Amino acid sequence: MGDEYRAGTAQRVGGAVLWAGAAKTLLHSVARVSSYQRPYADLSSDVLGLIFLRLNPSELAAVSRVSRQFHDVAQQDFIYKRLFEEVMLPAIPDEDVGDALTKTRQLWEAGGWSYKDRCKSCAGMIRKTKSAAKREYVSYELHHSYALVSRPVMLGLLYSGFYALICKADGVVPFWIPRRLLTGSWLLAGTPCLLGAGVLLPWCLNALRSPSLACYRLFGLTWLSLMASTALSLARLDGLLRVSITRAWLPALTVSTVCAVRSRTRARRYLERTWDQWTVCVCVALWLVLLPRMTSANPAWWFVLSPLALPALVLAWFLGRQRNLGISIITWVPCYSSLIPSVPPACVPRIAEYAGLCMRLGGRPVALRGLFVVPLVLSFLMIAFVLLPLRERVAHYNPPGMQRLGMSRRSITIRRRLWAVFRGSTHAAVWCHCIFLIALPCAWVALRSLWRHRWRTGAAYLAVVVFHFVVGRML
Amino acid sequence: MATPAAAAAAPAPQLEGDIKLVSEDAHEFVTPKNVAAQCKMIKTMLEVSEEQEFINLPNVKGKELEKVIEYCRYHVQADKPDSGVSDNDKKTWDENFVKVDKETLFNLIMAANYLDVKSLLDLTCATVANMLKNKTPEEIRREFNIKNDLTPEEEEEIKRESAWLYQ
Repeated sequence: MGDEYRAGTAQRVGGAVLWAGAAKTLLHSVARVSSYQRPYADLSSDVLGLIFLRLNPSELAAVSRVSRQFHDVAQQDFIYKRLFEEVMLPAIPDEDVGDALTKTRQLWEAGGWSYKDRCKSCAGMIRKTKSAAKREYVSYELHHSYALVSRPVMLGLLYSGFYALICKADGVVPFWIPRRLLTGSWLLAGTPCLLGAGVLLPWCLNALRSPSLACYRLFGLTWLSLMASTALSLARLDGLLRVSITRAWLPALTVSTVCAVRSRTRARRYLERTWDQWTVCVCVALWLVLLPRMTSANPAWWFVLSPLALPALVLAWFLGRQRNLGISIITWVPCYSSLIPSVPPACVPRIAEYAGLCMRLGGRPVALRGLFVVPLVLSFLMIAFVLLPLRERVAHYNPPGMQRLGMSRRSITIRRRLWAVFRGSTHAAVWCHCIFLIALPCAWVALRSLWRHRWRTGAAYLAVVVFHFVVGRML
Repeated sequence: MATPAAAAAAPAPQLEGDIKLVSEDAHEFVTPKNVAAQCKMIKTMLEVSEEQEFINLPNVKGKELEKVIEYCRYHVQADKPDSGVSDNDKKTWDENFVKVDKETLFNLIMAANYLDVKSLLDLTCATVANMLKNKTPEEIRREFNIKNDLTPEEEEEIKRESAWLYQ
């Protein structure tokens, strides 16, 4: 009995010592953690990247939800490339190449679609290791190589095409556009525009038949429908078709909206990333082309635009670090210059494109996510409805005649206001377009940012709004 | 004048003697040059000027510099062909070496990054990576005292983006 008692006491004492030890360790670790306030604050993103390289996909997904810095680091290309090389590829059986491509695509999407390098390297690895993937690889290669070559051609044709249409609507014939193109039919004037869209046709078709490129497929569909609607509208203006312009644009509107809703963030990201690269090239080219023209047409414009554009650009670039916003501003200055008669080219498609880009917060999607196509569609609608036919109608503004026709006072007032907007030129209508599609969304984003205490972003967007309105007043 | 080919064929100069390393908080460590040269940054400086007697390291504190030197000294000795130290021994030593508190570990990462000691950087990064493994975002934040600066919408979107990883 005595032995048992002693053994029990010893056990209890031992247990208490163990508990005390555990509690002490716990207290120490708590004290250590709580006394150490800023563990990651000084680690550069490069070093964090090195740490993240050691994580598998699910662990990487977990760390990317820890904080903004972690998320940004976890999205870097080299991390995904290594994930693919060391984790995904060895885990994929030879016969399951289709799955490999799907998973790769998912990796790109998760990483934000830096599609070109990632696609080539991953597809290249698959080709080396998995012979059955050759056909898919060729498809990828074709897809991207064609897109790379065709995009500048397409953009050039589209810009000149739209500018030709605007000039035709205004009855202006700039020296650089062949007179025959503008004095003929609407379809003829819109030929460069249709050719520009046509350049993208093989790319769209390839996207449509590729089973693993859902995002491209949606984009392809959107392009095709927009092209078809543009052609229908022009044919209608020529009197070749009896279909109304509203109906001509219904397919484009429907398809684009469906695609926008379906694609949500994936396609939006893809568009932003790839179009950005080309935008830089196009902007530089535009600047080079426009600068001499602007100064020769009216040197005062250059002096007016530069002091306004540069501070806004600096604000956007350095304060907000808003890459897209900075690019937008560079793009916008040529846009404004296109409002000066005889200065080519107007950047109408760019307006729509950047309306979409402005509806986001420097890499952070805003509530209008997924609606990137809508501004694009609005842009086309604007050209189809406002710039072309509506202007013709308001040109015949005649209040007494309208009253005799039984039109209400309100209807006449609306028409008078419209006439006031459009009486100047179609270029002024483009400006109106800018206000609705760029300045107002930017103002909304600015307010939203300031409300959320994102001062730099808010300030950058406010600068854009002020820039737009100041230039607007001067116009 | 030596031709470029001859220069390329010439063996790398042997580093002899000691060098004084001075940390950010003015601690001085006298160490053999061949040990210090394990740090690529120091090696480059020594190659530029062999005559210098001390090197200021304004981004490394004394405590971490001491650890880095300890690491380099061990590996210089252990990597000698006649050292008799097996790979397993080195691994065990490395494991014990990084059994330090988090602050020291993070400072070591930064020191290794600054001094360009690749093997030490790999070792320390792998240690932190192991701490991150099998933890939820909330656990990681709690353990490393990180403030969550993502909005609920952003968090939701990130979760949606990586949903396929959990399928």
